[in-house]
Amino acid sequence: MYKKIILVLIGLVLLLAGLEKCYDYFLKKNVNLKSSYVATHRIGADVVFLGPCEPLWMMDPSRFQKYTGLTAYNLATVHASFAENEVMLRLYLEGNPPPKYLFLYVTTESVDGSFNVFNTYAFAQLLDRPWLREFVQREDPTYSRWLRLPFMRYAYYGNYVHFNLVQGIKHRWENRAVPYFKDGYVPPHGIIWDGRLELFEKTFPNGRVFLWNPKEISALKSLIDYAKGQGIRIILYESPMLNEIKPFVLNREEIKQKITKFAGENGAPYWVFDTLAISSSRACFFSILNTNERGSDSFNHTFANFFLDFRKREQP
Amino acid sequence: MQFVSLSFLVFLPVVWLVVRLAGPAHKRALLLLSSLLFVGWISLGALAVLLFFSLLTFYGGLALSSASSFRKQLFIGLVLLQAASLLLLKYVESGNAGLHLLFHEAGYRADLILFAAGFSFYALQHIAYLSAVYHRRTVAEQSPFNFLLFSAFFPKFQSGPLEEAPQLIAQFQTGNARPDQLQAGVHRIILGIFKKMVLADRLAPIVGRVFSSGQVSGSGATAAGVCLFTVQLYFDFSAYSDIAIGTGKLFGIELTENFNFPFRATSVSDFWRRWHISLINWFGKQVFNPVAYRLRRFGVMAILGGVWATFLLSGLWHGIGMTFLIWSLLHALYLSFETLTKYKRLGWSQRFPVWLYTFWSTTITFLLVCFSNLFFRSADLSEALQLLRQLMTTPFGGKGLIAGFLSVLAGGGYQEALFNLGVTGILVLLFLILEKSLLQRILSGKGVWLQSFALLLLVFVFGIFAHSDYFIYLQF
Repeated sequence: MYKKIILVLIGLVLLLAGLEKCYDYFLKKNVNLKSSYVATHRIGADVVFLGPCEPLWMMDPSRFQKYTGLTAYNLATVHASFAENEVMLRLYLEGNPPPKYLFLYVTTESVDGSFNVFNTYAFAQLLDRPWLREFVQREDPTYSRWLRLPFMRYAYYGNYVHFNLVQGIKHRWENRAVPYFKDGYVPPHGIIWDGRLELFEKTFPNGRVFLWNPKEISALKSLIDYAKGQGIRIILYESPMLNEIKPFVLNREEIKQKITKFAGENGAPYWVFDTLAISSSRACFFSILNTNERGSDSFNHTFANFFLDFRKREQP
Repeated sequence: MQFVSLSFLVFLPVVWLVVRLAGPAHKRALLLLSSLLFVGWISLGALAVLLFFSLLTFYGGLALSSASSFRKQLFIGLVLLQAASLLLLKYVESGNAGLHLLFHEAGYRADLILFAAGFSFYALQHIAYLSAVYHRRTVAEQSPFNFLLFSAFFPKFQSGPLEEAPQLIAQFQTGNARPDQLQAGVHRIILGIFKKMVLADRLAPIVGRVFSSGQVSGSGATAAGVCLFTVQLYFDFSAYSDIAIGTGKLFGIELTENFNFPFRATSVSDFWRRWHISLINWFGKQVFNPVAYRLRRFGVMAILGGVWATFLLSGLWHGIGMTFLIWSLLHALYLSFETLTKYKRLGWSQRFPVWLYTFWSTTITFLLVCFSNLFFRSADLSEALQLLRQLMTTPFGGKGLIAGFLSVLAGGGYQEALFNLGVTGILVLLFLILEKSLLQRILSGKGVWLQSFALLLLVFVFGIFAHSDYFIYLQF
């Protein structure tokens, strides 16, 4: 019986090691995985947008280029913390020259640390990079402990990986080279009102105090320092939020001032677009912080004009 | 320490190896030591509570066997002390006002629950032991170490199966596991890990989207969520029992089977002969039989009295609250109906082909159990009522199959969520179809290594590793 146990274990280890190689290969072939795609494709944008879902579904590089003449790429990923933002930037810079400008989305929610996370599974196929392993070890130590075992880098968050694998096999089969996000932007087609405002109001009927989370601030500083080190002009910004939520964010002004002060100390401007007309209408939003197509149309135009003015002031 | 955790993955082989190398002469001492370590690992408080109640029951048993006067008073006192402690624990755990707030505000509630780890299970075993000694069905155990090991034996400490002292203690005296026991133990543990990590834990988020999510869904998604909870509960708890039974076998100890394909039950009474068997056996011996015996002059009322007493106490054992009360009343009602219509149903069954009657009665039984579990799983009565209201609405809440049904269960209508829902559905269905043959293969030993290899591979590929260590029945 002991022989059989050893045989099963050896067979399992070998099979899992083989499976890990298959996952490595096919996940890298999945062009819809932004982390893999930006690390292996030449994009060469002048401007890069970074952040979680708000910029992902809001900042349209093609419109930005139309208004400003600068090429742009949207590097944002869903639910991404500042640490994940930095990883995305580093991956992008592996195959691309540094952009001239980097726009990083920062709001009360993103410095709190409860809403955005480091989505480790998005980088599982790229863990052969020592610097990325360091990030993962810091941001997700439990996952890191399992990495000594074969295949565990995929098994641990399996539910987030299998669909990408199937898609990778399909892309390899079709020899696909273009992702569904042409320039990183994912337009909010067909996304309807998600009810998060109602849920927030129900959960925090007396409002919520947001945190100034040291871990997030440290990650933000690291990202700013890294971008500056690469010669990138980094600009922090906050896109419009629905006015209805503002009374429920009890310390919004305090956090806003702290971000402005922090940005100033680190040599980055902080643009806040919270007085635009679109903020007052649900017709321009599908969630508290996410504009729909109509809202995005309007904001992209405003943002590009603001940038052009800023640029004129900076380079008269 | 949980069964599906890295610490247990190290603990079990080390303990097994030490026991094996030390030989049968040291088996009891080493099992006792490792069991106390296991309990102490959960919390030192749990260890203290275990020691107190085990030694109290042990010496109480000795006193009951030798006392010539006040035997009844002593027996009632000892049983009441454990039953009252159990009730107090359920009361605090249920979050009822007053006492709960007292503990909660002092920051002790979580500690108290850890303190009481396993108590719900070993208290019942203690009561059964005292009853057996009092009624002179068994002689009192003479060794405190044996009795302590009976209470603390780590494979069954946290959630059973419930064992009887003489049978289990006798097995501590035997030698090491036979090769067939070892083999069956290893495969049973692997089967349990598969059920927990691949089936129960994949179903958990789907069920969680219907219960306690604050989300209002149509009757289709609500009914599916309620039914899937019953399936999840079965996989979760039977996985625990599989691991416990398998672990016992590794040490040459046969624990009681807790499940026997409950979804194949053709009536609710049949269901209760197949679900949490050791608990229902306990209630049968300690509650149903005495009550039915006392009411024996009243004919069928004796059975009904026993059923109602059993299920009201079973509901109380699971927790204090309206939801558990309704759950227990529903089962008492089901069983009363079955008792009163037994001969009529027999007549009906002969009018239909066997396969049709079996299919029909199995489906009805499953749905009745699922309906009762709506209350079992609901956080409170208002949630249960909300789910009942949802069951009365249109199947997809007026949104269509994908938006109103699949995307509710999948946690979003996007492809990845639907893909994962599909994978879970296929795995669950396949397992339910193959379950009997998988277990038979473990018993026969034929092709079982290949089976375990495949199950382990599926654990790695489709198992949930993050947050997979919590078993539902640990809360009871």
